Amino acid sequence: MGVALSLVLVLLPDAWRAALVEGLRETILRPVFALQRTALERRDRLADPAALRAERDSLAAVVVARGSLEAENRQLRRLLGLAQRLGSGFVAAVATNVPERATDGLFLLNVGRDDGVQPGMPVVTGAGLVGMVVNVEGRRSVALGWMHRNFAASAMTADGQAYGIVRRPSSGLLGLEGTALVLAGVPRHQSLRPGTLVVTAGRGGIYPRGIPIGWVEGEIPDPSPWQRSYVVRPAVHPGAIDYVLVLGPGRPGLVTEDLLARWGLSAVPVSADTMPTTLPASSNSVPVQPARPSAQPRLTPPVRRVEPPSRPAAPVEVPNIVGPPAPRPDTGTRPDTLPP
Amino acid sequence: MPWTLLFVDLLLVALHVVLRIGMGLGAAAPDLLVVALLLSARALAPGAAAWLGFALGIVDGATLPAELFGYSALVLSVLGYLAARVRPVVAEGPLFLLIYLFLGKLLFDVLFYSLTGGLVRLGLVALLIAAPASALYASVAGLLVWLTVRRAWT
Repeated sequence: MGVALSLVLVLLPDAWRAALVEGLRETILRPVFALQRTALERRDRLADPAALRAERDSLAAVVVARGSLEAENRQLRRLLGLAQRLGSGFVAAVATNVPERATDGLFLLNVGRDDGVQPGMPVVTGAGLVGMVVNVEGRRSVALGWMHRNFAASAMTADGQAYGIVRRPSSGLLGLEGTALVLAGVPRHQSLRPGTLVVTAGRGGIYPRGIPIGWVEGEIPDPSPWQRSYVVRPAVHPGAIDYVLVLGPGRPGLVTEDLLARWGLSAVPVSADTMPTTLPASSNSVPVQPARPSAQPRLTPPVRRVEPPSRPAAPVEVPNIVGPPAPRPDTGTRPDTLPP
Repeated sequence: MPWTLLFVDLLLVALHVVLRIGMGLGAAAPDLLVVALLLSARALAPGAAAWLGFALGIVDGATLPAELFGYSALVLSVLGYLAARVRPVVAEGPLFLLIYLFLGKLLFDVLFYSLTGGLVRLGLVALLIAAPASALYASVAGLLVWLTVRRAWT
């Protein structure tokens, strides 16, 4: 009898069966479905924090990605400005760390001999000097950055008053390796103020004159009683070496040029072989009495200093070479803010 | 004994709907409706077992989509009738009871899937993997229920 009644139920029209099901759910099974509804609501409430956290994490990821995109955009825009000022004689490249040798300061460039790149060509960014090409293959090359232990460049202050050699700090200067350079060989009678811009001097036949290297941060002890050494905060942060320009291809005489103006800085009409002993009043490098060896290091933080608007006594106007940017990864917006 | 049986049946039915529907566990909870029917059929006449199957099928059908309403009642009433019929040939003991419950649940799944088109929809996977696994789960649960009830009764 039960089987026969079941068959009748199966053969009922769908609407009737639906009504029967609804009736059962609203009567004897009502508590069960109420419990189900409660359980589902509780599950939703418990699931909400996780969902919200996931949405927040996704939003944070988008914001972080946008930040890196803006930094990359700024870097490319600065590089584009430099490329326009250079006109020709360079090859744009993408730099990546050499695998397993990232800390050595070597970079892999995606341009090589086929692009006109040769060993010894300078590598720069819109902020300043990165290093030089050391090894060239057909479609790629290896560049040596300022963080490398073999890096050295003849340097001078942007006003051309003080000369020296910029190199990597010795191992005794803990905390400076990979983050700063040392300007050594500055005559004792030449004292540099923090914030003085240091550029390549054009000596040695590798780096053209006038490529920004960094800003003087402070003085450190020098073993020689006739010389001074200074810590230089590099203009190009290692983390900002992504897009670079290799200078030289198609421009044979580049090494003899003065590129200071290409970075939006004023060229200095000072002979590279002249080492003046007196300086103009407005100069960043100040002559001092010789033979006053400093016993204590005079490391001072960089001071942002703004040149006064009018300087009638200044024989050489170098309005843009003082006032280093705050030491942050994507170094300075200074070149972008300068008049072309 | 009949009152105990009725109490156990009600308890199993309540557990079944609360676990599967109220708590939303679904197939993660054993099919206690079939277990209740198979255990009760060992103490009922075939006709009574068929009616019990019909009643349990109505409850089960109300928890399913409306187009499946009636199929559970049909299959469970047939299963109750058959279970009561085979009672004389099923020996006592946990192992035999386990096999009895396993085969009963497997027969229910095969019949239900066959009538509702589940075998066509789900294929051999349902027949060879899902149905035996579900049958084993329900038979173990039924064995535990039987052992508990017998201890309480004695």
